[in-house]
Amino acid sequence: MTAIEAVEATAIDFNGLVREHQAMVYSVAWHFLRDRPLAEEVAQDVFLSLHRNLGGIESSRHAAAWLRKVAVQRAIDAGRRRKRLPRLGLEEAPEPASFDPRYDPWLGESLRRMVASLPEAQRMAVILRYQEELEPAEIAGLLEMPLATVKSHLHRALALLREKLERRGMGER
Amino acid sequence: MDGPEEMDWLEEELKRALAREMPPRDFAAPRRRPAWRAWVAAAACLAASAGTAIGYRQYQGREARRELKLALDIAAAKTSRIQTQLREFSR
Repeated sequence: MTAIEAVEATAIDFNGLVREHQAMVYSVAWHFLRDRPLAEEVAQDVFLSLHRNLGGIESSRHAAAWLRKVAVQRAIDAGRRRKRLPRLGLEEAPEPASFDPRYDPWLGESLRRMVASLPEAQRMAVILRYQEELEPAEIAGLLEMPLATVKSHLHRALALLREKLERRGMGER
Repeated sequence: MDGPEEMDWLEEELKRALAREMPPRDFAAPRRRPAWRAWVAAAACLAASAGTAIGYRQYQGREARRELKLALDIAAAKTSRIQTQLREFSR
């Protein structure tokens, strides 16, 4: 192995980290905020912050955990800032009045909209559980809340989503 | 909802609906640069490979520049977005 190859094998490669984790960082913000430009802005902020803190990153795995935590915090902050602005987000926009459950190609889109309308803590718990496939204990660590609270958020969120879907004739298939 | 428990249909649908997506603009995509700059870079690489110590230092320099360029690209995209928003706001 040459010196260059050795450096390549061990160095924290910023470009590589961006390539590897941009979908995760962007998607946490996008699913939470339902606003693509704002999600892109959050993702940019997260990676700029990573660049400034690259010295403290020990490994790719450490980077992934660091990026997920910062993405969660920044998305929540952006959501709170947005609340203070007189702006109509997609979650406030009226949803289609009727659905045909037999020919509904929009279940995924409807679910994303419904997730976006959940209360802040439930929404982030659902995103971390089903987008990031984290266990409730990992979510509790990330959101700095008790495990029982995370389980309760997930339980309530699922019950709410089920109820909304059933009201629209899109229940269990 | 705890680990090995089977997911029901709603949880499966949520996993599909909330699958990760790439951002509209790939942050790490290489930006196009003039052909002459590519030739200069190639020549520099050849020169760098002449000696390991020099090559190693130049490699580090290139990596640092590449990282900085990406960070600056991200910052520039952010600035441009803010300028567009300001223009729209002032209309």
